[in-house]
Amino acid sequence: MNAARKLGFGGWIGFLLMLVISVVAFYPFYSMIIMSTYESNELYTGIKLLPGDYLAENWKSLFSIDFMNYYKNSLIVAVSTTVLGVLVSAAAGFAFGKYEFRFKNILFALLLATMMIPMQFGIVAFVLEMRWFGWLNTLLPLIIPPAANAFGVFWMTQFAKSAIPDEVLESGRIDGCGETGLFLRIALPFLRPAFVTLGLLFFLWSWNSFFVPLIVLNDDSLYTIPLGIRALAGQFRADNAAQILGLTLGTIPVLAFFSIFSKNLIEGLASSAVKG
Amino acid sequence: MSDSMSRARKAQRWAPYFFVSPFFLIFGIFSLFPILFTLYISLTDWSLNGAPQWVGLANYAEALQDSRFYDALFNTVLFMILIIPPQIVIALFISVLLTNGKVPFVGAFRLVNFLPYITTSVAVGLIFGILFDWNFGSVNSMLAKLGLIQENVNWLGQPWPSRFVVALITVWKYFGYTAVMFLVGITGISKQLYEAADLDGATKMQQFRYVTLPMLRPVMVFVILTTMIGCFQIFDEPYMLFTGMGSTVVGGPEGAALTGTWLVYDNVFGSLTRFGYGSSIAYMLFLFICLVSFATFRLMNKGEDA
Repeated sequence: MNAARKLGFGGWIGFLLMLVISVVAFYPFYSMIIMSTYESNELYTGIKLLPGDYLAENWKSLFSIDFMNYYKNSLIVAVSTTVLGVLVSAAAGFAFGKYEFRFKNILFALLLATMMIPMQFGIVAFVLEMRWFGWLNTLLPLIIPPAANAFGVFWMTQFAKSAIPDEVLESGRIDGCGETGLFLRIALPFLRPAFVTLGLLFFLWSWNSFFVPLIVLNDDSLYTIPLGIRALAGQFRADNAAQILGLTLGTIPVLAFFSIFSKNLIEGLASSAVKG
Repeated sequence: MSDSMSRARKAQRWAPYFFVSPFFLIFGIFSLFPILFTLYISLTDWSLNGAPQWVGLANYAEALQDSRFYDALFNTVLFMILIIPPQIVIALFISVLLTNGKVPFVGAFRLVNFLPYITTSVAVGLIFGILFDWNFGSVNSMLAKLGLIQENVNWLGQPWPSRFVVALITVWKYFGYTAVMFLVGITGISKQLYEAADLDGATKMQQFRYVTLPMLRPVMVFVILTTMIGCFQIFDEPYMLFTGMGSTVVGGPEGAALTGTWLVYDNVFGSLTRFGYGSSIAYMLFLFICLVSFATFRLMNKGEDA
């Protein structure tokens, strides 16, 4: 049986519709990559489908500013937040999933409620607080606060419940393993599949964050990629093509991770929902 | 022996508190405290270098007279109406197509539709700004070629086209992510329900209507609530769209894309540094969002009883 027969009429209609939606989803993304190879003036001359020949020039103007430094800042922030966030979520998820304790249900309800409250509501006090801490114009406000993510804990809880067998924990205790040791040596390895999915999300949220960096960073040398690219508008009288090249380069790591792990991510989310 | 046993049991009792403490510590200091303290700030007159002066409800009274506050409120509600229905319809459609087992290349489609979500908002603002450019943008030239428009549309210079572009960008950015939520929900529905429906002679449409949709209700509630709250938060893309190209129009043309977050930002960190006043606006929007979410939640659960 060939593929066309197998697809059937309904399948073809579905496939074509899916193709149209995907083209719409992909076109701006594709434009970004293509636009990074043109001169800025040319960006405003009709539809571009093929790459231009200005990549090297854009590359030069991009790296004539401190783009590498923005990249480095973004990496420091995103990697630190990811590691910290995954560990904080795993510890709390392990406790909620595998222990019985007083206030457990209240704390878990509080957790779920906070998933709905955006941090923007408290932004004024947050910034004053950062000033008291002396954290303004440092990378710390971008690293520490996002590590406490209610969704992360919720998700790790669901995962821990089913992924860590009670018997393993019990036999660990009989062998004289302390509770911290149980977490580090037994729970963490069982939770590892969840790290990939959650780590990806933490990395993505941190890598793309714009609002908080915009408010807490003034010093050009601390800028992350989104801020640095925005600042380019002033420096080059809006050299849009160089800006877009910077954004393309900034998107590549995330794109690579997602292409590699997208199956993992979606199946990870799916399994947690089924078990939840 | 019994001593070490009791010590171990004690450790086991305290361990969970120890494990949840990093989360609640960070959350308490950096999320809960700011939200509570913002309430206090909203009752004071506080500028960048001055000391706070207690003014009671004066900021709230002022905000209720402020036309920009009503602009932000109106735009937030409008964005909910413009964004939520198309986003849900498209996402549902995709998730059903990708789970029915008939469409090939599921993995590739899933990835491509997820790309907008991983693209940084600064890029999204910039790219759409170029695509929707008045004189030279791809969108106008494409519409002109198709004969759909006589003269170029000034997308980003007029209130309603601006709102349309912002809504479009938001739908574009989040439909793939929403589709994954539905995909996850559909994967969780028991196959037996569909087999039973098949035996009863239900068509695919009927199965969607009477099996898939009802079983997706929890996901649906979650998606609608988070999108509504998200509409309050819209900031990055319009901010890039309307201030990225050197211009500094707060809120877009005639405030057409001014959202709650943007208004708070502008009052506190933008053209003004009025901490107290900005906080009172944040709090009123917060209360408004809570009320709307609660009403929606009740409404959707009511539907279940009927």
